[in-house]
Amino acid sequence: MLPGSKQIRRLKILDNIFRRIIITSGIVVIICVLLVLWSILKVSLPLFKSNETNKKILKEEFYQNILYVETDTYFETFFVLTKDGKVILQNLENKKILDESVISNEPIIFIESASPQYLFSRFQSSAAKFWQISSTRSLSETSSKEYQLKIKQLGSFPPLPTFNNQQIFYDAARRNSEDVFIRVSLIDKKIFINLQAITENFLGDEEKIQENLQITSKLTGKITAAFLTRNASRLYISNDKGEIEDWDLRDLSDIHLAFTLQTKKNISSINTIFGDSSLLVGFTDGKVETFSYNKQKLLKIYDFDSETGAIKKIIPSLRNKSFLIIGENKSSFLYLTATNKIVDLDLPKEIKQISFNENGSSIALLEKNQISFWKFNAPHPEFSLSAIFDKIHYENYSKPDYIWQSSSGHDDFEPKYSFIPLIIGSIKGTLYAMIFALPLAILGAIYVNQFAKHWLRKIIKPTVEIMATIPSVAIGFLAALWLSPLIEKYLLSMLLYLVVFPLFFISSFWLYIKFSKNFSKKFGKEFLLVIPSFIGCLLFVTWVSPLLNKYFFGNDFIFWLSNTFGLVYEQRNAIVISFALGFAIIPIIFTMTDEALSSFPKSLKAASLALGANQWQTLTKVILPTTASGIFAGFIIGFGRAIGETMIVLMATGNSPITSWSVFNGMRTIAANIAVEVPEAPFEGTLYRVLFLSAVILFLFTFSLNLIAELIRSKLRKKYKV
Amino acid sequence: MSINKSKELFYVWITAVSFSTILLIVGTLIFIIITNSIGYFWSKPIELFQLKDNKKILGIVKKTENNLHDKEKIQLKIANRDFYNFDFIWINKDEIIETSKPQNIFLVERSEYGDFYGYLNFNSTKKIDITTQLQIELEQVKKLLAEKKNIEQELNKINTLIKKIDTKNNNSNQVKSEKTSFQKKFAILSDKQEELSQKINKFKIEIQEIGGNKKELLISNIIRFYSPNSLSFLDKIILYLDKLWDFLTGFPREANTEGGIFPIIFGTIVLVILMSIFCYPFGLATAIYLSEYAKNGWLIRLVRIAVSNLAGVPSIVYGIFGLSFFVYGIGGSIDQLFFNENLPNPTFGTGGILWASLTLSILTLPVVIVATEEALNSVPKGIKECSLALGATHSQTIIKVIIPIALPGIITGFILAIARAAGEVAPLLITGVVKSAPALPIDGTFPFVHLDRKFMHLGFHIFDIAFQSPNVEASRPIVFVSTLLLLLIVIFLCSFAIVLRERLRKKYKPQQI
Repeated sequence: MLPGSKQIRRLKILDNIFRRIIITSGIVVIICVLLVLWSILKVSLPLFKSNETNKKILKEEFYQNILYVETDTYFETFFVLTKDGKVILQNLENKKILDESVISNEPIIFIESASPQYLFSRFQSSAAKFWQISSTRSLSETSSKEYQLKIKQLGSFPPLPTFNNQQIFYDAARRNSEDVFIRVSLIDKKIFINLQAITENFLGDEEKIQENLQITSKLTGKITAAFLTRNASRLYISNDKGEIEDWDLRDLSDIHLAFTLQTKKNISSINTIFGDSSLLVGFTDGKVETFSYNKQKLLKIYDFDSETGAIKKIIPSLRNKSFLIIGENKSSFLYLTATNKIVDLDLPKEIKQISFNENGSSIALLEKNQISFWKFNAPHPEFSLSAIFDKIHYENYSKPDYIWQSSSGHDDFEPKYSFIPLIIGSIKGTLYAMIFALPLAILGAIYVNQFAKHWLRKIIKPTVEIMATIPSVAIGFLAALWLSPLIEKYLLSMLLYLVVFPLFFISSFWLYIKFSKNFSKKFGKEFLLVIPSFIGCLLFVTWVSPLLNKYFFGNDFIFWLSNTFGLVYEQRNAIVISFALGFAIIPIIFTMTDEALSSFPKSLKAASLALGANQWQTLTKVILPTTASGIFAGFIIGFGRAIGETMIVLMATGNSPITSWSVFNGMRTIAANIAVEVPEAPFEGTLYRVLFLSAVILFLFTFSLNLIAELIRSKLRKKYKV
Repeated sequence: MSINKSKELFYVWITAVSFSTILLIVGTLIFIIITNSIGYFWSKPIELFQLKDNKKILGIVKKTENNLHDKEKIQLKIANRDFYNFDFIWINKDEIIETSKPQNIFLVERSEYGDFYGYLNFNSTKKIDITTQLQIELEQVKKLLAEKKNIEQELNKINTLIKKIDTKNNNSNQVKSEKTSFQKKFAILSDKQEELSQKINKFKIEIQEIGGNKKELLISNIIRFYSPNSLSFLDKIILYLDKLWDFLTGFPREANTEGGIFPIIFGTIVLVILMSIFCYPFGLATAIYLSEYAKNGWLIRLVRIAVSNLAGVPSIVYGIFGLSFFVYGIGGSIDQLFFNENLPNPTFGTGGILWASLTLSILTLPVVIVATEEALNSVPKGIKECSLALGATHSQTIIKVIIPIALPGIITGFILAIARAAGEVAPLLITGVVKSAPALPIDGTFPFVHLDRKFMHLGFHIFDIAFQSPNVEASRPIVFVSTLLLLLIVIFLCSFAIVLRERLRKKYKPQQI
């Protein structure tokens, strides 16, 4: 019975619906899957964005008698300090006064500030006070923001001894790590130091202790710049001959001149990078040089040739290692090691006072009678292509080097993002794994495919496939907790075995040929003989190696190794990785080789054998040359697998990012690095994006490897299509 | 013998050696895992060592090794962490005067401080022996504990109801009275709970270690107790099975180094099921599209190559993709739209089982697509053309003819995908797996399936206790057992897939059509 026209129509509609569902979902899935690369690339792209956006908000209004101005972290308010001791908090947008306070009735004549919120103010009498001034933001009940000034007097210093209205060249106060307030004043070449500390006496009362010290600079010529570090550990004084005196203030009972640095150029400004372990020196010819401590000596690490004209001022950001230089003609925002400009600024010529806000995202600038505010958008100043691929001279290192070190316990730590140790680690692990796996897998596959009995082939193929699905976490666990202690214990036996077994093999083979007259031409059961000889050799080695160990290596082979060759042995090393990672990639290379060999037409093989070639000749002269590309594809895919393997490397190496090729120490690969670092990386921070960049590199690398292998395989398939 | 022939022989032998090496390595791997894990539940005797310096040590022998001076030393598990602070000690064999296996030594598994080896005393000396009495009291305590647990659940329910009222911020009288009634109920129940706790805490037993130190132990802390030196072989087998059962169904204790792994297995299974739900329909649809509907142009060829190449991309790359796309991308948006009141605490904007399973499904999608397409293409063209010629529509042909024939092949692909997903750990590390999840992803509280929850996973469990456990030596056996379990699951799935595929191959050999 034929279906009615209604039914046919219904069927057609259903067919249409089905088709549409399949096509749309198919296309959507394909697009989604292909979007993987795009979505990880998208995260890392902002790293390459140039840091230009600097908004300029200018206040054309006239302010008089202002000494200091600073903005808050959110860039919503700012406060000013006037000569008559008033602090005024104002809204940045509408200039509304939010809070006001008077901190001193005596007129202030000088202000110094090296870090946001901390202000040093001097009065006419040369007495001075040290303040912490900040603003707090809170949400009121009507959920509007409320701001308040928070002012704290930290220290009060008496007038300088023998002060007679001379000109004070440099005057500043800091708090050191032991909560001692230190004021340093420089008059001519005399350095006056005033210490203030609050201690508890034996009655439990607070007692104020103060002390005056005086030292004299040995510099000749004119003093051009001075700077007391933020943690009050060092005082730098420079002259116009390019000499910098480095006074060590860490031990206040023994203040001494550590050494004098020669730069041979006219110095115009000195400051330190955030963290106080590198010195920034600006010269009158527009150059800026950075020096860092290495073994108690200042070592030049970078010089910046900015075209700003004579450097007038250098101000570091207290968020990271970036700093602002203000020159005669223009200003630049630079980063310590990236050696590239973050952004050029067109700041006004006449600057009286300039200050960063607390998180280094904006500056407030005081001119003769106006204030301006500048906001930077430089989220990843520490990143540049040269920072991840070039040798970089980091603070406190003796020479430029490739270093990956993304975090530390300190705030003033500089992240180091060199990919080179990770790439070396990845290649090292893969290489050693390949050395172990490649010969075994290819020769093993040749044996099974060409010489083994049929029943063996039938068992081995699925066994290898099951081997391929063994979770890498299981292999990694065994490698780390079982294999690596074993290798450490029996390293000598293992090395000995590598010599003993080939010797045994060759000698027994030679004996066999010499004395056996007729041996069967058929192959296929050899492995049944090999395994016992393996075990025999193993027993022999375990018997011999303790004796060797005792008589030649003083009972401790690893110690002997490090003593004679200087090789450092780590328990989780490249040997362990070689076995574990090799084991993980043997199945894939085995299967691919087997597949390639099987694709060779049987008739051609039969023809070769019929012409009188033996099996081995047929294999090496006929089969291998034509299937080599397929085996090579297996090698490439295995390589890609090994380079991306995460868990084994994560578990069985020490994960230390080093650039050594030694088999006795570990490595950190790109893949393991991602697994280690991503959980702790702040969302959309530099580390987060750098890790995504490394994932993109890994993706592209493995994808193109697979592509090459795929093309080779399809060529091979076409060649022998029946 | 000719040179040629001996050369041939030599090379063949070299290939044979390579092959044997592979066999040996696989064998060793399996041998090591099995031998290290199979004895974990077997009860070993506790031995009493009398040392030269008049000290007595009670412990289970773990292994014997030679020390630096070539003298034998023994590693003992002495347990009693609350008395000794560590689980294992080494003693030199020549210090031992005498060893014995006293019958009255007990092994007590506790929920705190690990095992206890030593003597048990009851303060009240009753006529019945210790074992029977302790057994009776243990039963009683268990009943009380179950009662207490019920009350706790009730309390939790009331608490969430009160919280709900609080967040609504409704000040009407009706709501207020409702709240006070809840609070009253809460007070009554918590009193009851307190009473029960006191009752439970009255059940105590005195434990005494071999050195003579005594301590009171709450019976509610006892999980199991037995006297290992007086067990018969049959008892040991029963104990073995009992422990195995507890291991598979119990909850972990002591930072996962003791107790069972039920939530871990459960998390793994839920993860794999969710992954399958996301992955299979789309994988199947895509494969049908590629093999039946897509025109075979250069673009589709390119897509096909790209999809199959994605199977070789490292899993950690998928993990990082899942983190940015699912967790922070989609999860973050969901939080902003629907869970704004909880911010800045993330609900979906942090790793969880949903995101982990989605990541895994993207990871296995290429595998499924390639395998399914291969299976669909292996259906002989003649069959398809027959169906079309008989008047069936294209969709009917696909659903009723092609898919049923290709089904074993498709299922093989599915099973291989599950096997891969079950063993994959790297992407989970960053998309929501945790060392110890407070609750299961599926449970009795509304809405029953909690996709935002973090979860535990067998592979991660192995990684975690092998590397982050405070007591590596003590947790070693449990890692081996977990590894064996994971291997068994994966190998079982994989062999099943292989058997299925072989059957399919036999069934549809080309000459039969």
